[in-house]
Amino acid sequence: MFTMLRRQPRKILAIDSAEDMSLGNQSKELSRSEPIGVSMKFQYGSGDTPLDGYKIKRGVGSGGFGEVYFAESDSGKEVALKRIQKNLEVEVRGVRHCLNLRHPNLVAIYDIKFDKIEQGWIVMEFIDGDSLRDLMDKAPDGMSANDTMQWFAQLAAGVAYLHDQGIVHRDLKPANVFTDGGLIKIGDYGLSKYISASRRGGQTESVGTFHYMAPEIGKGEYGKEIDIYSMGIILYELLTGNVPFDGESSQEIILKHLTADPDLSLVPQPFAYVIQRSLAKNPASRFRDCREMLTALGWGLDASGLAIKVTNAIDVNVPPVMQPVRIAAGSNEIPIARPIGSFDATVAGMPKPGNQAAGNSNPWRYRNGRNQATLAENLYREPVARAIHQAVAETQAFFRNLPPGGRGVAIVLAIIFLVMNSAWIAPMMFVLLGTYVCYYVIWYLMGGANKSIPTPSVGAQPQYARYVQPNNASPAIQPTAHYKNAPPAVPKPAPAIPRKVAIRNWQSEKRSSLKQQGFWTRSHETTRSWALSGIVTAVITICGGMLTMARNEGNATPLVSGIAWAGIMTLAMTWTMLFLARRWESRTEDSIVFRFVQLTAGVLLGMGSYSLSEFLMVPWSDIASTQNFVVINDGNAMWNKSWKGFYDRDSMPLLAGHIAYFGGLMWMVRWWRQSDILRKNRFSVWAIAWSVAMAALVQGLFYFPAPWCFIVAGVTSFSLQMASPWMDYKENTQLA
Amino acid sequence: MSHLARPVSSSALPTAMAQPKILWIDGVGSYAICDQTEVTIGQAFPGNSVDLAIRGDLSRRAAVIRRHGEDHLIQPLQLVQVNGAEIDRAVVLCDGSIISLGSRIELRYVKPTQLSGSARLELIGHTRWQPLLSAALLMGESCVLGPELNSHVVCPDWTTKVVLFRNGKEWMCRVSEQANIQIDGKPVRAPFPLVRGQRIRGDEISMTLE
Repeated sequence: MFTMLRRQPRKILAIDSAEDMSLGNQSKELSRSEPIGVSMKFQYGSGDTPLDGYKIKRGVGSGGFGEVYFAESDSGKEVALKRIQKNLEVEVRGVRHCLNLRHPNLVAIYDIKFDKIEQGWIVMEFIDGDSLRDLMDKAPDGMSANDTMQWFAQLAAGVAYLHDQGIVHRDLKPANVFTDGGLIKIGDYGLSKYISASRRGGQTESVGTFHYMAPEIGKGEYGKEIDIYSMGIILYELLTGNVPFDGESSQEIILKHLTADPDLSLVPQPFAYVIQRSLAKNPASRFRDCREMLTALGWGLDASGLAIKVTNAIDVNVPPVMQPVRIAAGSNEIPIARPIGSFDATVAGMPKPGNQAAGNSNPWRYRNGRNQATLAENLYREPVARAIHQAVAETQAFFRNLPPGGRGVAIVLAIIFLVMNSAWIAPMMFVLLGTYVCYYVIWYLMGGANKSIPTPSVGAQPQYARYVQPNNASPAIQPTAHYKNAPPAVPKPAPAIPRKVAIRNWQSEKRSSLKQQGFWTRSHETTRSWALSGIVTAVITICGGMLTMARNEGNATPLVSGIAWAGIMTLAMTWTMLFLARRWESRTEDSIVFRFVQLTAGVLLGMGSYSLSEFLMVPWSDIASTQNFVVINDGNAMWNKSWKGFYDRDSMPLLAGHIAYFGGLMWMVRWWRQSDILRKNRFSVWAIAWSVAMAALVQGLFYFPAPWCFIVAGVTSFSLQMASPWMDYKENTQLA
Repeated sequence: MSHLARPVSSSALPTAMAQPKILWIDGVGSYAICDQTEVTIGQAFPGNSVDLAIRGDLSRRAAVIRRHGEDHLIQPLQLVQVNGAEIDRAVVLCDGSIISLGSRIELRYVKPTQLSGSARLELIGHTRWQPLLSAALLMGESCVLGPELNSHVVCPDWTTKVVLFRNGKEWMCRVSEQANIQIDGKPVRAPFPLVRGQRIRGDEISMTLE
């Protein structure tokens, strides 16, 4: 495989050389707008001898960290010279600590020298080869599993050596990893990392460096777990050609590091497992060290610290990489994952589930959660909701990073606090909620939802920058981080990895194509659904009415108005949801905002319902069921006290009761999902059952007359699903 | 026989061999400028005076590449294969030809454009040039350094191109006015001669001929 690494005529790279040339490539969108060619400024030219004994031949790379030159010593030794331009003392201290490290997978540091004007120079091994960044740029769809493993195993071997020496690299990224022939050489260790993190004042280039940063760096934690995390990201990028967490701004990337799960649907085993575990938000859930990581991949380290493939283990053949089927631009077909790799967790040298003591933190605990990446991608448009979401995400991240014991304590404290203070928290929350609903309605009506999300200015320092300040002279963070030997963690079992259904990919793909639909197409669809739902509702209401009448043995008079009320309200609710769902079908789901809009609509429906029942003079006390459900009756003083104003003395629901019922129902049920054109099944009984169950919950809270509240919810769910357009996922995907 | 026994003089050091012209381009690489009609390729060891020296298992004088009009011919001196076939007389090289010297050395002959007789000679695999080169340039009448992939020297970060062309015995540089070229700190107007030891700097261009 090494023969494929043809020497590129255009580049001879030394340590860090590729860094600035390729930073733009790391985020492809950004690179396009970047001016090219401005980065190559070198103070010294060929033939200069700023440092006694070395003649500079040419500049190789430059950036915030310093300039790197290719030079020859007087006796002909080829070296790379790195001029330290910032934080001289701190850097020298850090590099001096690494001066005598020796490993084939590390770029050797020969010496530190000072010139006549007291500039510091690092003399080191010159690497004549591409960086991993260059190799990845040449393979935009990712490398084969074999190539990946060849590179990754050596990377892990080098990092394992660093960790064994008590050194954390802290800035592992493809641009810092070089290939020399077939050999991996890790560079830039021993340098303090706040320089590289704040490179060039947070301009677009710095975005690249955030792709590989572990979430806990924000808290100033620099354990070796951050290297494991970076390696997980690199492994993902080697295989797929993309970083798992990408975004338009550094804030977005950091948020994803904190909250999102990597999309592993295209990654075969055992890589998916290794990546998933390396990218655990909680550092304690990651692999303990590089050896453990290699073992999970069927590799290991020999006595001299070099990576070797373990052959005597159970079948350790790495299954071939699953490549996404590429589709032509503009085509409507969607990429289908071709499963090639084995998904059996016992193959490929992974620890078997169940035969090891269970750890208390399971790296898989997010696997069933919604992929929050989609959520974060469509950051809330409404500023208050966005702020709340961000705060929640940060709290979550904080919570995840707590040790297991601390989490329990936090939960208990929170519960105690809430219980003790519920007297003022509950009313305050209601007031806040009410205020927010009013505000949101106004904001929504003003067209706020269509305004674009304000993108953070490029110059804005991301949150990590609080800890990584440019030109940081304070040695608060030691240049070379030493980690304490953590107590050996209990090996975690590896549960069988569930196969992700590609429906989510399909949905997001389709959703973006739905955006192209014009106003008229959408209106047409809405109108058609309205008509259809009208028919469905009418039929069901009449049938239901007949049945109820039959049950009441002909005494239909009080029921007629109730049936009319239920029919009209069901229709109103269905139409509302059809209207909203058509509006939302091209947007990425934004649960909290959608719910708020539904709640608002529910309040309006409640008002309508009240007027309607007054107009029809629905005799609620006569037609409410007396079986099984909590029923309003005059004798029970308790409910009347707590829900004063919701019902009158004759148990007739007042305006507040109607609003509470419809508002509650619209808030609890995600109706838009039942109407989504891209829903999984055209018609789901479970959706109806769920809607009715939620109606029961609302009924339990507000005692709205049963069974009418159930009828409205169930019939709405039914007719909504019947009337909504639908695209068949299976049919669509089988074509490809 | 053993070269270790030889007295080490400065002229015997590999770097001081035939003093090939090397163009050092910052951020890009180093390129040997071979503008003579005949270029000899051989093993790099002290005292061996070949035009292009390769550190590896090959003969002291392995082959000669001769410029013939717009073409280059390779003349084998020892075992030489072109595209896998052993040759016993001069053969014309074309774009993409793979030249094998000895058993382990492989070179690729790249002629990026038919508009120029210049070509690029790259080493494949683990072996390296002595002194360290990105590639050797077999110079025709002109040679292009620029961002396009069909340049003789691809400089990915540049926005303008530099054209080297022959003027009698010396080489001249043609470059756009926008590049703001300075030589040793003084602004110059193109075309200007390429002189050894002078540092040519522009907005993004930075190179020296050694």
